Amino acid sequence: MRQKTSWVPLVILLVGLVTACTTLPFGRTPEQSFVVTGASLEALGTQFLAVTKQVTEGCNLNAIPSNICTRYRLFGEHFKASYPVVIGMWEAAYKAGNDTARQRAEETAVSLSKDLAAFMVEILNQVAPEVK
Amino acid sequence: MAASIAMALLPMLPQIVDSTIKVAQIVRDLHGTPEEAKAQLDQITKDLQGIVAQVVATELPK
Repeated sequence: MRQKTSWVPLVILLVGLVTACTTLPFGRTPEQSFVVTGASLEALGTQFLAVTKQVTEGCNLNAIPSNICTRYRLFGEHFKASYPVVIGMWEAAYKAGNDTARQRAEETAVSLSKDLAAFMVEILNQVAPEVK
Repeated sequence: MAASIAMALLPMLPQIVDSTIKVAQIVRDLHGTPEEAKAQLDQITKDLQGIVAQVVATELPK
């Protein structure tokens, strides 16, 4: 008999790791802080692309409830508008060596990451409750 | 049906795992010189431009 997979907690763990990486203190130099934030921003963008691809396919096939598709579209529009701004904030902070501005970019990225993770969990709960 | 949808959603996991591992590796390897950090930052800046372009162009559910 095939063992049931518990992958929702895994997703939460993985997305949580990214957010944790941006917030945990490691006694870093300023350059290292910018590296960690930049790498986390890369991971956030990559995750958004991966999730959006699958959600869009699922919505096009009517495999995901339409109310979730509508809400995800609104979130996606918000993300598409916010992400380039956050990247711009990070770059400007890096060029100016402004750690306060870096932290502000980081906080916005963490907020987007939490929203994305919440959508992933909701979608997985909706479409595959018995796979949990 | 639900199982097939779940299988369709599974492909996103490797990309999420990859990106998360990359961040974890970068955090682990943070012992380089300021010059090495700057080289990393220059690379990240370039990579981010590509990701921003993809994010802006990505198709959303109708």
